[in-house]
Amino acid sequence: MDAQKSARLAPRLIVGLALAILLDTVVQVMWKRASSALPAFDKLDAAALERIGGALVHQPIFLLVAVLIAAQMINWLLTLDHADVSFAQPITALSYVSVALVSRLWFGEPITLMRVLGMGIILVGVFLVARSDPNTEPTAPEVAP
Amino acid sequence: MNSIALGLILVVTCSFIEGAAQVSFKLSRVHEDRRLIWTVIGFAAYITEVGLYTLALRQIDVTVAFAMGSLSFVVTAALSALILKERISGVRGIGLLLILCGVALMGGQA
Repeated sequence: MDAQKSARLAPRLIVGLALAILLDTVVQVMWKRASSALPAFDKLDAAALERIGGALVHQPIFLLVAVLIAAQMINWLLTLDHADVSFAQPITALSYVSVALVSRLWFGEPITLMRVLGMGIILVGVFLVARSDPNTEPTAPEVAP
Repeated sequence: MNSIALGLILVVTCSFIEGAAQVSFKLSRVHEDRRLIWTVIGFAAYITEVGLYTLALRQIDVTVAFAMGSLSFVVTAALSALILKERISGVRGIGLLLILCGVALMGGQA
């Protein structure tokens, strides 16, 4: 079996990548929701940090965010068993788009032309970085003769 | 200070911390004798980043903050080139430059 080629489109990989984008999106949106409930501040002095710290305790949603981040990391590591980082990472960068869409619906965050342009340029950049040579070895300058 | 500017500073700081964390984790794999200390530094950096990102999200749209997080790829590459002597190829360099442009554009739209 040509495992390398067929593994790229394995159902487990597709599910893993879809779950990665979903978890990315849910984490970011819930995190924003939790942060929005914190007191406003216009400088980060001791008083502001004390107010924010006090408010954090009353936001159990942060615990949910922490659990989701853990789930996200575990899913990512499992997904990387089935694909190279250089293949998987640019795909999950699509969550910039899903976060923007969900945030528009839930928080009314505007999706302006300039924002679309910014995200598009970033996505092309991430794609180019990922498809460039993954390993510039021999690295390890400390073993140079 | 303007609260949006403060949010942008926080997001950019997060990307620098993320880059430092990534390099710390790589150093923990390279230097076996200092594996523990570099791992601890990496995790401490992550925890700090979580706190600062929480503050950043209080100030600016998550649409902007999350996409600007890709700045961490640029910082990681720059630190890797400086500290780990990893080379940045032509295609990767162009990609990193594009990310930088996109991040700047998003920052202006916060």
